[in-house]
Amino acid sequence: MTRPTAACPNCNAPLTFRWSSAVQTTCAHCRTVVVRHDVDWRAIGEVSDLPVDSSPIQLGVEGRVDGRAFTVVGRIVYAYAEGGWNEWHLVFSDGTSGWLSDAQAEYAVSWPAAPATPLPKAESLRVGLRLAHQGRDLVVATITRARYEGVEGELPFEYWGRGPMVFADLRNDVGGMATIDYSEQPPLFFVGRFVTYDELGLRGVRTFPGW
Amino acid sequence: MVAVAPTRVAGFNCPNCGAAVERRALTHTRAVACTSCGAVLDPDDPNLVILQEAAMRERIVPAIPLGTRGTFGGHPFDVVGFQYRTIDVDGAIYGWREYVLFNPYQGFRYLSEYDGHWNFIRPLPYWPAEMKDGRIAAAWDGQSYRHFQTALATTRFVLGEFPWRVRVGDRVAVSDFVAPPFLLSRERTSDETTWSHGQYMTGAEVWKACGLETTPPLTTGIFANQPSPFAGKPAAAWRRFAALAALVLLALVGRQVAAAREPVLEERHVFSPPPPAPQPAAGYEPAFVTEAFTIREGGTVEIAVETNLNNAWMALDLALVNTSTGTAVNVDTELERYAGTDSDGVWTEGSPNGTLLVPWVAPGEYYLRVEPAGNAETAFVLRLRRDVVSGLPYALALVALLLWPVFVSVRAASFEARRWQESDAGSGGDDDDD
Amino acid sequence: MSRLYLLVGLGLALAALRADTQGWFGARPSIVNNVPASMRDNPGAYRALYQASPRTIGGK
Repeated sequence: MTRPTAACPNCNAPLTFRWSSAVQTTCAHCRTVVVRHDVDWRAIGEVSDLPVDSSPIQLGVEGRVDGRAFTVVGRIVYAYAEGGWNEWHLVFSDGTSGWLSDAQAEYAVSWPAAPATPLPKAESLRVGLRLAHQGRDLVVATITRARYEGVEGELPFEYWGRGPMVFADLRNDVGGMATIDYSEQPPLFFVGRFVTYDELGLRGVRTFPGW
Repeated sequence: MVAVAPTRVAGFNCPNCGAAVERRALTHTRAVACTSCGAVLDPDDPNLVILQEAAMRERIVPAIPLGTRGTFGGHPFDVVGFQYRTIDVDGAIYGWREYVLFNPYQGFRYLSEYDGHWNFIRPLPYWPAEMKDGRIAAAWDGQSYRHFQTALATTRFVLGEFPWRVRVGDRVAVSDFVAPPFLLSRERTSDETTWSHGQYMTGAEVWKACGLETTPPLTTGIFANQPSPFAGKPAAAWRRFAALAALVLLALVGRQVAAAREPVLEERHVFSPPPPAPQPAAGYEPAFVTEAFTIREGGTVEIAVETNLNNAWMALDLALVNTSTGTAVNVDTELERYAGTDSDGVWTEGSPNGTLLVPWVAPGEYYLRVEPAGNAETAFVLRLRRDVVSGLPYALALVALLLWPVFVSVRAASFEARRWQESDAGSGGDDDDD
Repeated sequence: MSRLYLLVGLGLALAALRADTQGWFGARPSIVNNVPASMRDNPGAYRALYQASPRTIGGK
């Protein structure tokens, strides 16, 4: 994988990338959020401290899922009424992207997918709604109204300055899951499955005193 | 990297009593009940203080102290929280205890204890398939789980940290499905449904995992997903029975094929009863002897008698006499045949024919001495065969062999009956429509 | 326990075979020894040798 470098448009410090297709990243020195338009990097804001978090995952963590190796290169922190969760941006050795969602140490890996049947509109969402996908029904389990709490690292799209958004979490009965992200039109669809911490074989995780 | 999350989450002081409140579950804690005064606090809102009944703190003491670290499934977990919940079944209150376990990498697990029976529980992020056919519902990882009980559970007392906003008085509809030693549990409120998977553990196993020196709570009765000590034993016993029954049948078949059944004598005679008194019975001698015959090999001898009895009876004293040794083997038989009509129709009683089996007789030359008696003139045929097959011993052997697998099956079934007695389907629960 | 069952079962199978060939479940005979050869010419004389138990009269 090529390791492109650029200079931070705000403080000129070198920006290093783990992923060649990054569209957004954060400068480690001045906390400026920079996005790439064509070949230039432009500053669009400044990220504040991320909320205190207990996730064992951090940028640079390496692991495997379904036999494919990945590196954690970015993060989006979401908050909602009951708490918050992380969406870790994974990059695989072939350059493709995936997401590792991490909520109270329950983990799921998903990839962007094209829905087989039309996605329900946000207004017609309800728990129990069924969506057919690859022979198994996915059922809407939770509908969450969430907002951004922060970003970190390299992301495939511009994630900045967005208002609250609706997420639908779907599950099937064999550990498969899906997410519909209504922050864009048309809504984004991600499909994957729940995973155990052990099966990801993570290296470079955060340490906790006493553990 | 810009964002730095501290690796240690600071504890705080209880706004009610001032005691230090631990945050072992780090930022995952959504509610914590102070271990000193029992007040339920929100780590994100210092003004929230919900007091609990002080008396409960005396009565309900966790058997595993908070802060204990145990090893389960190869991973270490800290005991961070504890709750006591009850259900009401036909007016009787049943309570059980649950411990919240935490590992920063593995997340949360739970230990539940009821009457000394333990379960190690993992929350499931997804929902198992539910079937409604027959009595079976909830299938997961290829195994079917049977519905055991549905009841409304109320949280009565909490201590320590929880990953959800627990409140005393919280009510959930709990449904348990079992496939011993496993358990699937569904908890439903109006807002959400969660499933979890449990595996049965004994108190000794839990105490060993936690390295505790005390004695675990004693068990009473049989728990819903407690593994049966007799599991698999009936099937094994019936397999052994099948093998032994096959052996017995093989012996029978072998004998049916190999038995000689050789006819050695056939004679026809007519019996005349004695002339009625007072005429003298001079010269009347009903006894006679048959021709001599050879029994070539030692074996059983079957004596078959066929008569033309009709509303009469006949008795026969038979002596099988060896011509060289002079030893006589004596057997006797009585035959009768009566028939008539009455209000129910035609009736018959008795049989005009009969067989006798003489036990093992040595080879040699024999004759049969016959002494008949009776009340009518009767013609009869005597047929002797050697080495016939008797089926009764094999039938008796099979019946005797049945005793063991039947005992094993009854024992296993009785365990299961006692298990299910506590369920909604048995006498211990109330029927709950889902 | 299961080994015992298999052993007992084997024994029962062999015992059934023996019971069949030996006629253990047949009639229970009584033995009279030293029957003289002359009895063949005079079958009535056997009665003296063999005191039969009182016989129940058949029929109603």
